[in-house]
Amino acid sequence: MAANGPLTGELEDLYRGRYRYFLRLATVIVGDETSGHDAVQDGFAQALREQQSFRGEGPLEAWVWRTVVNAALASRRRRVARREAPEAAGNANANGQAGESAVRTWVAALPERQRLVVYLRYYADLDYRSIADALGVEVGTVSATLSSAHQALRRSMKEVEQ
Amino acid sequence: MNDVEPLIVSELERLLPLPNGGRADWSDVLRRADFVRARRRWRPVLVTAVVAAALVGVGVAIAAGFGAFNGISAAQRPQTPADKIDPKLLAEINAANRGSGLGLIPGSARLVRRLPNARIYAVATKDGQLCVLAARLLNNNGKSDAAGMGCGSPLTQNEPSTAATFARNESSPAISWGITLDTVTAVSFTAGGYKVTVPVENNVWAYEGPAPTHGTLTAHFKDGSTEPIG
Repeated sequence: MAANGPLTGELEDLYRGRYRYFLRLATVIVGDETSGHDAVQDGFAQALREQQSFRGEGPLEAWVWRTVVNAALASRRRRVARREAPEAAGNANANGQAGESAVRTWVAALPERQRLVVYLRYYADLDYRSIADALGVEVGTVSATLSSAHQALRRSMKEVEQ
Repeated sequence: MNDVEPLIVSELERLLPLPNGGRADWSDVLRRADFVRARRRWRPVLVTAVVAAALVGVGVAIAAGFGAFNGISAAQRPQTPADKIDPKLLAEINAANRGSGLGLIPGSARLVRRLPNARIYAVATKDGQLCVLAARLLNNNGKSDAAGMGCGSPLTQNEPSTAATFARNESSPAISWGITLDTVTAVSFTAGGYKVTVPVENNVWAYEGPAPTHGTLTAHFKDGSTEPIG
């Protein structure tokens, strides 16, 4: 009784091939791997249900990233409302002392949207176009966000060195 | 990569290494997507071994397609409003089978059985095939609206019954059903380790419980003879 929508096969291939990457990103957003897994499952389930709405204007993977990221953000919002979420986004599995890593400090200090751009770029290995599709923003916004984030990191690293 | 990107990559990797994929479970995704997934599960021939076995052979093209109902009295009558398939459902069937040349004849639809969990229709195709549609398959809480369909050649003495099985998931009981020739009084099969015999009423048999074991379905005729059908 396999699903038979036009994109079901592609979605299954994407899931099987990239599950670990989706799980990592969802985990870092939500705060723990179990909830991250739930977000991935829910995101893909939503993509299956709404596959007819995919217009093919961008990569399918970027469209799925969007549903998974939204599922993770929704999960995080629910957990925050229940006061179950970690105190700071980006702290999943972070065991280091404060200041140990300029990158960790930098990531934790980023506004949520910028942090998502960083995660999608470096955890999901998406190109700028796909990140823009996944977050529903312009490519220029992604480029500017990463550029300013890199600048901020350079400044942060110099401060640590001094 | 620019000067800071390698550092970002390595630090993010330390922050959260790529997890293993042990939790991956596509069937769970399908269950979570269940409702719409099931509605879009249309196939010209339902891919269950039983149905495939019961609906084999080459169909004979018959004018208007109604020859697909030969030997099925419950379907050989004028269409009534109750027989009409929901247009939205019909559109989904056609969309899902676009390019397959399915050619359903909406006016041929006959509601042959109302079950607590489903409605069973016989439908003919333009090339004389018999399709059996189960619509409004409800889930455990009675809310979902899934459907399944199989198509094949008209029934014969050697292939006297269709058979199909639908289950919401591995833990819920399956609904199995089929349309038979007038001469069939019951079907039997093995399910869950037990021999099950299900009477035929108005050309339809239906059973809710463990799915029939492939290869065990047998038709029982009025004259006492039997015919294995899958």
